[in-house]
Amino acid sequence: MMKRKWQLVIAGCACLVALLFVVAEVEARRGGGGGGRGGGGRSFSRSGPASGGSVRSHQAPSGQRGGNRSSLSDNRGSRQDNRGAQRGEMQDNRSDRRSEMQDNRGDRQDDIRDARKERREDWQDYGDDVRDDRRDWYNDRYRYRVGTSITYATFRSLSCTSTTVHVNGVTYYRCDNDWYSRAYSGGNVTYIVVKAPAGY
Amino acid sequence: MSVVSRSCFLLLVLFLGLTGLPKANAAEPASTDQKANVIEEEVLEIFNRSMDYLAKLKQFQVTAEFGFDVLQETGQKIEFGSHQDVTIQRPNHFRVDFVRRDGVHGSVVYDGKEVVLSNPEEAVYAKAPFKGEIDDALDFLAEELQRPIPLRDFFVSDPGSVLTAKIESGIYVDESMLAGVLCDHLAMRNDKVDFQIWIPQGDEPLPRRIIITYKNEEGQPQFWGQFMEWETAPKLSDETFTYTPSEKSERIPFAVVDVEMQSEGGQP
Repeated sequence: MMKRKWQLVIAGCACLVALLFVVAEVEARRGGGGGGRGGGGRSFSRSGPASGGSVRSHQAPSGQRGGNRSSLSDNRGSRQDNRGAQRGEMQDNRSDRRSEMQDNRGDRQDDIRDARKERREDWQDYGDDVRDDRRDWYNDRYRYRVGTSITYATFRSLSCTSTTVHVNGVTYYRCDNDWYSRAYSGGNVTYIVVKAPAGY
Repeated sequence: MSVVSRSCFLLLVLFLGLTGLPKANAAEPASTDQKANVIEEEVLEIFNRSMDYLAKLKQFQVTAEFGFDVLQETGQKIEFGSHQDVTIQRPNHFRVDFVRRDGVHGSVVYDGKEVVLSNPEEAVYAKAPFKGEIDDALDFLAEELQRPIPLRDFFVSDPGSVLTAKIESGIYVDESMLAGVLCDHLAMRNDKVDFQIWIPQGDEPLPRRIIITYKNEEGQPQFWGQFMEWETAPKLSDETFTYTPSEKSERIPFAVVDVEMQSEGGQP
């Protein structure tokens, strides 16, 4: 009698486990279907050590690596947590470091601290002042905070109907209270939270 | 009594099983380790013949498919990949047209003066001034633009020396039929990666497949690339390496995450 009872308990547990697997499988398929370009879908990491396709491990200059990885991982949760605090500082994130650039990259961190006092340019000026010099170019790149960029797929999946505005040859997208503009980052076109364009 | 003796016998078997087997297993890796540090002469011959052939081409086009593992936070490895057509004109021109599996497509063009990335679906492009040879421009893309060109080890001026740098072992695996072509299958290792390469036997020893295993990285992810078609006498013109934006296209900047700003992010 006792044996029979145990058999029933074990059979019941097995059924429950099987059911859980089925439910998990259905959920996985449902979620996975929206991935890729259309839906924004799930936020997989799409880049890692193997994506470079080389026997050499090229590493981005120090200070760039970790950030690049984060930008690619499309971390929407942290973006929303941080967005409010970050938006204000996005306006200031260009700096005129040309005169201070040292050959030694090791000094770069100090330069950034010094140069930050001299910030004055903004996004709209960017396109005009790329110089024919690699080092100048390196410093002229737009810099943004981790968590203030989203991918094209994520941008398309935002719940708002975005408004598009062209100012000085730059396209801005407004979604609720956020303004976005596009840039290449990590080889991808990304939508970066920027300050409102002049006149808006 | 018979129950006791049977139990003793079982315990003995269990004991031997637990202590004896691991010793037998432990002996095997030692012998393969010895084998692993050999660079077989035949391997270097086949490999160098292929890479010398590739290095001597003044220009070529190659079509490739590739895929790579990306380890997710859950510990699961997911494969992503792309199709890419590469045109090389030594010493300082190249063009890469790609279609990712998720539908994102575009090109990377270098004309000896500028590197241009473009995305027709979004009608945008970005360019950066750069003067140098193909090797330097590929490094610039990987390091500064954070857009490494997959399989670029085969597009540099001396692919043999790049691929065999610090090589510790090279073994001949087998003859191997790949898409109807009889190849030599080689396996090599250095301290960072293991890689396998398939090189056709015959007059045109241009590689057909490569697998790179990033053995020191978490999850030991792999990259594989399959060269579908090599064209060693392509018809090229200046237009091949010129990006002409459409009327609707907008130039956008390159941007980079500033980790210093990230560290300040905690103190709004």
